[in-house]
Amino acid sequence: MFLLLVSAQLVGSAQNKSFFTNKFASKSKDTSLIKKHLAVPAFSFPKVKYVKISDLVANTHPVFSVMAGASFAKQVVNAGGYVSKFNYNVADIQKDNYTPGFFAGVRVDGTYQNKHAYSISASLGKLSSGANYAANPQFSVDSTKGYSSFKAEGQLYVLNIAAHYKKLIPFGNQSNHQLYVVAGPSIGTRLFGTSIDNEVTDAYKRIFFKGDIGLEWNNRKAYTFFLHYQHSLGSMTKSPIQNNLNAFELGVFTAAKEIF
Amino acid sequence: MKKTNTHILGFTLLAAFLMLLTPACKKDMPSAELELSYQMLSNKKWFLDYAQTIVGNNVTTRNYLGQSTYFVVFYANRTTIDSDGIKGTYTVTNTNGQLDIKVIGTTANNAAVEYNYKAESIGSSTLVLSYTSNNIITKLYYTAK
Repeated sequence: MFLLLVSAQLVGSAQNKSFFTNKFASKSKDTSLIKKHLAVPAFSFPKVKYVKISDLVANTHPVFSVMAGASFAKQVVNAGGYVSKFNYNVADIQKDNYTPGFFAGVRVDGTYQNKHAYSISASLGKLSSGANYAANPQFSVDSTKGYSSFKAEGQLYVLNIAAHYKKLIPFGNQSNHQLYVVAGPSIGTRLFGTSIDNEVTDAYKRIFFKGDIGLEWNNRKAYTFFLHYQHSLGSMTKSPIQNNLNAFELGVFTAAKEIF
Repeated sequence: MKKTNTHILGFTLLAAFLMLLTPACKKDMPSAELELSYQMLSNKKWFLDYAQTIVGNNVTTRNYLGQSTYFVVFYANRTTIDSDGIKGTYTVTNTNGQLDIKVIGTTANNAAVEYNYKAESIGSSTLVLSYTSNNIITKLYYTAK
């Protein structure tokens, strides 16, 4: 009896096994049919073209230059709801004009794939700055005077790194002179020279971003004059103080091999 | 890669590294506040323009503009003198972020006096001090001339 039961069990399992095998076989047949008739394409990530910095430097015949010039800057300040233990009478600190500073540095000019002219520059400079304040009366007894609880820094020593895209403008005799319009971002960082007023507030950000636009005029490939306008992207100071920088850079650069 | 190009790349990376790591020189804030306070207060004659007494929600303002009014001088050597004839020394202290001005001196009759003001707001041309006595807050508005 026991033997019969075991043999019956084995037969049953064998039948089951053959049944499943057939089922799987038909399933795999179905999948191949779907693949054949619908021809579903395999998923692939879109190709991204990376530009290596080493390629930019090595394979685009870069020109290594030195540059120097003057900068003219102004800050537009709105202290808003910022509360401080110190007050500044706006009539005393307002300097609504562009104040001159200076800078010097190096830059690399190149043309990527013989199509895209670019420049990368690094410069150190003293950014002197005027400031225009949005005043608000702080004391209830005298509403005639405008005050600001924040005083903008008049002088900032900055390290500036810029990357510009250059576009040649068809203008005049291009074999002798080239005029470019340039645009791109730049990053500035304060190095030292913080006044006691701003050590108290600690309001300035260490790094600030700018958007640059300008013109560059090259004379017989000997030297290039440039005029750049820079506007800070967002505030240079921490919230709630709003402080936007406007600056012009007027300078000249020439290939380093011409000098050294 | 040419040697010059390697130098250019190296310089750019060094500049970027410096940009991220170089902190702007900075003093600790409480000592900077004291230094700025002394700088703004000292070597100026502060004339009282307004005095406010605040009792609960009642505010009474007295205007001294254009009158012969009280004045006080804070010198850079930390001495002080006022129009009432009080002479002495002054100290600015920072207690939990609150700036106070403490004056220790003598009257014209050589009587010792000591008073303590809370600095509400200090500026190079406007100074607001206050003190509380018997739940009456007195705010004094000075202008440097």
